[in-house]
Amino acid sequence: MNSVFKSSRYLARALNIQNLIRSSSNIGLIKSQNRTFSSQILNSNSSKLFLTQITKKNLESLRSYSHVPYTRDMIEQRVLFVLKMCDKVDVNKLSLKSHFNKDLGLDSLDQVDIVIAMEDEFGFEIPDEDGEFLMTPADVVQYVCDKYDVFD
Amino acid sequence: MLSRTKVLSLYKSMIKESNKFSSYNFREYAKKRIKHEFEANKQLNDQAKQAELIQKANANLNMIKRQVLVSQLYPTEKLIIE
Repeated sequence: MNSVFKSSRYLARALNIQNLIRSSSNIGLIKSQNRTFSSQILNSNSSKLFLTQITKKNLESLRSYSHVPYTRDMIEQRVLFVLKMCDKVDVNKLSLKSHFNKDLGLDSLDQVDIVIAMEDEFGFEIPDEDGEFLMTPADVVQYVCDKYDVFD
Repeated sequence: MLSRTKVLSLYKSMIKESNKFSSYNFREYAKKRIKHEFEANKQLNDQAKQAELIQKANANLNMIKRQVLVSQLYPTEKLIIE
């Protein structure tokens, strides 16, 4: 019984310490610890400098892009995914060639909604006069491909 | 006669403006309300009524723009559903 009491007291003390750490992280007590930690990393880094200089040569042949180059397949999938998320689109009827108005039964207001969804997905503005002529998913894919300079 | 493209671009600008509301409730309400109103008057052929509604929509668009600014001045915390 006594030991149980003791262990629970230890637990309580440990919890208290944790709370203290958590609250002090705002004040800056932990920050100073972090600083010494990061300086340690710096030191170890400088010792590895020699190593990185060797590997640097190999790395220079690689260039890092912010994203993978888009392919037509990727854009098709993203367009279809966005269309599936629209609640008015019947997923069973949806294909690349299906006409928004004739096949899917959407009106011009829904079409504007789709254009807005595409703008959000692909991150560029589609002017009204272009948006009018996007009548099938294939049209949208072609339009986005033109914007991203995807040719194939 | 008001052109179809004008009405559509008005609809689009209203929806896009409402998307800027920082508060979820205002944002979703505005979008639902706009969609509902435009759907309801889709088949309207009376020109005087059309012009009147377009004027109302323009006034509402300006109101939304003002309210978006106000809502961005006093942002609220995001809801759990966002």
